[in-house]
Amino acid sequence: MKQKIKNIFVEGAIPPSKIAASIAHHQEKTKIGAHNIFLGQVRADQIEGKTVSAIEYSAQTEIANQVCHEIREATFSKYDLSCMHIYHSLGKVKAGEICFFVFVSSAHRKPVFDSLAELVNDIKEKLPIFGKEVFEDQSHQWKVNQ
Amino acid sequence: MKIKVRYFGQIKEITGKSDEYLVEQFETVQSLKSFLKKRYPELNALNFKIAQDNKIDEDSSHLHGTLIDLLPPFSGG
Repeated sequence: MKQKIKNIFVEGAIPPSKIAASIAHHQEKTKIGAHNIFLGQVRADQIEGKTVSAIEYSAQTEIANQVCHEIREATFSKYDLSCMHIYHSLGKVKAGEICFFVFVSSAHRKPVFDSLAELVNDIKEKLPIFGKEVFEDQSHQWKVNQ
Repeated sequence: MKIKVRYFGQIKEITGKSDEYLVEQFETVQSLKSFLKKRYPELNALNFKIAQDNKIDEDSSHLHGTLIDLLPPFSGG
């Protein structure tokens, strides 16, 4: 069955309550025995004496959602997962807030351990998302992924 | 054939606009890139990708799309 393409983007920071609600939502799925979660948080980097106060994200959302869909399908065929949820922020996310949420579930721990790192790396590398690091004095620079 | 070119992230800052229409003809993705690098010399310092009609394409590809996106280095997460 072909899954329809999901929109991974949410406006602004991802609230911890959304993450808690997402976990709670899986309690009825009693075939699941293991969850694994990655949370990306905006870091207050110090660069040449200035401190990052927020990251402003933009994206080519159509391509990003399409590529994410392909990554999702490939991961489902490679690992024995029952659930996969991916969210990424658009717009301004302040230092300390969550901008990226990846949640995988399976009957056992191995598939969730193995798939999560690969998913997070693929998404960071292949999705056209652009982060603008805004400093406390409102100047900015463009984020470069390591 | 008119093409719409959209600029993302720091490329939007370099060009000073989010999109524009071009009426010039381009054989390949590379020839469009060269044209834009002449118009916006700061693009020479940047490694960027081009998408045609919502698909990222190689520089050597034939330019066939009517919606072109310039994508600077990805930095999600």
